[in-house]
Amino acid sequence: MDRRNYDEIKNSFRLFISTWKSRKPDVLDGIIDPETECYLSVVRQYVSGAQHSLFGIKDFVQKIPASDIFHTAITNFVCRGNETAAQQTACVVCRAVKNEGSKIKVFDFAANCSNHWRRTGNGWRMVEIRIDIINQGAGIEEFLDVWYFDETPARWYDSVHVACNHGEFDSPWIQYPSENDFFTDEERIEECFSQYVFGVDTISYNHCDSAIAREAMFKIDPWGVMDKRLAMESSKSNRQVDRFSTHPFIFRNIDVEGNLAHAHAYRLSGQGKSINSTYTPRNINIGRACGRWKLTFVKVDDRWKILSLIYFEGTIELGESIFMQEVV
Amino acid sequence: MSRKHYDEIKKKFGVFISTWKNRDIHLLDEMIDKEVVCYISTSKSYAIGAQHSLFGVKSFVLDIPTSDVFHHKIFNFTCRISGDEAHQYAYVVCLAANFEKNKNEALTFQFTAMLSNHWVRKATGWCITEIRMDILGHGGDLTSFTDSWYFESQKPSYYYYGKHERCINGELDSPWNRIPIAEDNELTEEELIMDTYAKYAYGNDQFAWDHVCDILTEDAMFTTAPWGPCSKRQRLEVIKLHRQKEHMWAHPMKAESILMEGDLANVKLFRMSGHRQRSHPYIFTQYNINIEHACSRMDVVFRKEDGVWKICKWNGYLGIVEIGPYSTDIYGVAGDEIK
Repeated sequence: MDRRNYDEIKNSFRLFISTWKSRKPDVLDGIIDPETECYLSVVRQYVSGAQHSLFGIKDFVQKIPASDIFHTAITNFVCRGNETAAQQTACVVCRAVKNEGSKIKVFDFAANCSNHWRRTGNGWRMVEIRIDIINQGAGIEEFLDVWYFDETPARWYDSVHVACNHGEFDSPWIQYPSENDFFTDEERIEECFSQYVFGVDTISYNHCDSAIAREAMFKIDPWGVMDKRLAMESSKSNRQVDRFSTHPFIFRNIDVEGNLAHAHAYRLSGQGKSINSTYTPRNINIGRACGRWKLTFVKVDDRWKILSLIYFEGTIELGESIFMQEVV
Repeated sequence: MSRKHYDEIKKKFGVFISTWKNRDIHLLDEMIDKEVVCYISTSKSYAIGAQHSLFGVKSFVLDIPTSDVFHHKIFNFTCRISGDEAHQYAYVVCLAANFEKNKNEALTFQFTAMLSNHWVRKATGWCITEIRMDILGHGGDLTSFTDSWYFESQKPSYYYYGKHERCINGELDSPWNRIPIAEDNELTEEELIMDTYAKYAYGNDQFAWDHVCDILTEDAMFTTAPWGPCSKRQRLEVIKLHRQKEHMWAHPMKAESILMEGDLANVKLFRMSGHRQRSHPYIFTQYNINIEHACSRMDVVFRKEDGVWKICKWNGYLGIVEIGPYSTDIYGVAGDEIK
């Protein structure tokens, strides 16, 4: 895959997400294959989340409950492939807001997406869409009426809705092991961190093993300082408890110094559910993080890996710029 | 050449496990490095299970609670060798029983240990330099074991400082990750098939789902209660979710028969522990205490693809099956004499 193809897919994905706000489903005709396979965790009727075809995905877009304000931010974007096919993942952080007199109602959610793309004579098209939507605080009841959220304890039972994303089958790193050779160091570092959180969120810790340096040290409250082994094993334990997990992030800075890089990243969702009462007209358009990471990366055999990770849980207001602007 | 090394390691591992019954700890001198790094989940004192050195391993063996009957069998033995290093894993299924005077029913303790060991070849032969052992499942009313050993709750919980996490990590202690390019051990086709199964079990039990993915054919079909027919993807979806509900899982298997037909093999497997009988438990008595039993059986079809055996069809039948008297061989493959 070259930069041009990568950028085309990135732009098309951005266009797809923009329809969640604009409700202009015709835009999807140029992005999504008419016979696309589509699995959405919010589909109530089918445990697999099946809602296939371009018609199915348009229906999903049009039925997103209406709101007065709808913010989205695309994070963790990864795309790997070749000249004809690509696998792409991302997390979309969303905030829907309804004004009800003096009251503000908010529904925060995060969508973990895995999409497969094929190049056609008319450009890249999505031929497989998989989206798990994670409820991050339901203040607008319509979302719970329209969408299905399987929030039962983590165990299989008849009629359980399994996750639509699967770490082994839908991984860009497994489907296309070669790194994008046109990436800058900064992009490679971001992808390394995406691989780590993808591994955690999909319980595919082979991804974490690849992304973490052997001598890495983690410090995450309340668990304290951990070496690579304890960080992976404790994370596995934590993931056993939760049905879903999400770690959307944006980097504040990445400073490369030879084979080391120092960076800070914000976690935009996933650390507990937001408290609706904390939203006011003043801050409703301000993006916020629920935690931040202080990170060091090291280049090992020409691959960037996490060398140290310190996590600080706590809300931080980031401003309006993190939300996606209107796509024309 | 590698077969010789494989056999030496397998034999030594068998001798190591035999000391759990005979308590002849001097046998360990020739197979375990004096400064061995050792992590054992039963270790109460340290959350990471640290009980290092040959002295620590000997203490573990000597401190196994005594019992009137002790059966121990090794399953899923896998060993990958590269030069002077090897990594090996196996399950050890154990049954300890005590009989009170004039009582027919036994007080028992069943447990399944998983061991992941690193071996190094020295002038005196292969020896273990790293031992990691988790007790994957346990049960019974012989309380001397629960009194002596530490067991973390089977119910998953968030990590907390001081929690006893698993000593074996699916990624870091996998024989396939530790020795990614292994020498040809010159195994028989039957042994290669069981190696494939061992990788499947390891992946399931250790959350190493890439291992499971590797050894299933793209068209693999599973039929196992309670899930019914599943494709490869469905199987991984349901098993991954179901795996979340318990701290440890165990899938030791014994091959009852392997029938080869060209690039296909029909294999009958007995699952030797791990499936808990919720309403029809196995009651141990004087009559059956020396009878080996499985908790379920599987009819599995393996297919050779590009020189590698993979699972292409799986039918599982949950339910206890009495297999017959314990064999004297610790790997359960030869002899039928009761000792």
